[in-house]
Amino acid sequence: MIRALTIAAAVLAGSIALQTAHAQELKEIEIERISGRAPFVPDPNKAYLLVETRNLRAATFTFVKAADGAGGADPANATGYIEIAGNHFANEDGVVSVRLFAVPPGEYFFSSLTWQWLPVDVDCACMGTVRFPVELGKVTAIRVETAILDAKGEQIGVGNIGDAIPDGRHENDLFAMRGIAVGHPTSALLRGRVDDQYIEPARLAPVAELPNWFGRQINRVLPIPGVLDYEGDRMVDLRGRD
Amino acid sequence: MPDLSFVESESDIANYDKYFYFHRADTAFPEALRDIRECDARARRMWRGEAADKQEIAAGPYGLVGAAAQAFIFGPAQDRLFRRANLRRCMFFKGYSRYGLAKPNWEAFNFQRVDGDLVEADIQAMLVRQALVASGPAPGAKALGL
Repeated sequence: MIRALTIAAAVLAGSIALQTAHAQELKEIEIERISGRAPFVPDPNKAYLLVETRNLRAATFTFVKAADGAGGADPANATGYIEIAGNHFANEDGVVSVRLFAVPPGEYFFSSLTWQWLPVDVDCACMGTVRFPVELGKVTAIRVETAILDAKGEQIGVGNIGDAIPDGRHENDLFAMRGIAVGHPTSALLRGRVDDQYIEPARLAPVAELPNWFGRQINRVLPIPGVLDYEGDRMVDLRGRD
Repeated sequence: MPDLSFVESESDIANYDKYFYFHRADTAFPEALRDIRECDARARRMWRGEAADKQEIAAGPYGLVGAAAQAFIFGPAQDRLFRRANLRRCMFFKGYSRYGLAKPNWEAFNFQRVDGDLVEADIQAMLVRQALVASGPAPGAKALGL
């Protein structure tokens, strides 16, 4: 009886807003591709974002630019986004790619990355992501790629092509058992292309929740040592901890 | 309480990636209902967050016309696929385990996708029953994981 009353009360009182919300207006921000074979020297009056990835098939990455000034830490105040697509500033064929773009300086939230072919098959880091500053005269470097997961949620592969995906995995498991790996670049692709003095590994800060601005698939960034972890769906800030 | 009893067949096992329910130990019904409603709303791109001023869109990256075009091109199969994946991930993040179910049992309190025949009241009634299961007796079956 008590359980029945509890259930009835919860059903009556526990409703959440399910109406279709209005779109928060986000405008795409123009960015500049950086290419060429010569060693790259940044313009001190420009800011650069470098993305290393093992998502090699039609990969597009969306970063949302935080509002400048007070309130910038709240994603709800953001008004613009950039899309990193194409452009292989450097790559090891079939293994890893690096994209480099000049972008407006400021704070950015990592928002989403494409999986494979379908235009809606894009993972949003809506239930856990990171933000980081991109500053003038520096090449801010971040690594973003799909993490192939096992049934325990542990990473067993990376990227969106060939060997990353276990043989025989059913379509439903293929879609469900993937996460987003974010960190600093780990490849040697930048040697001889960008001097170390210009590279700033992205200073990552945890962000527990991000609006699903683009109506994409629900996902989150995997735990990052020294930056973030999770207790269930609650994000834990690891910065400053031993 | 939905009927979860069935005699497991090879066909059932092969379809556990599609037909399943969630359960988490030591979880009260109101909490399970809140979690299931949240994950359902996220899967339908209708989640607005805890705060009223957080807003999300439901149209998708190509707007309402683009969403309609995508639905036409890729169809209901894609909707079902994404709904399953989003629910599995969201509930996994919240610490729920997933257990396989025979299709007839599953169909009694679940839906594959929102279409014209399914009204919101029906959906909410199904979510209540899913929450009853999620907060109910511990399953005897083996958890499937993510």
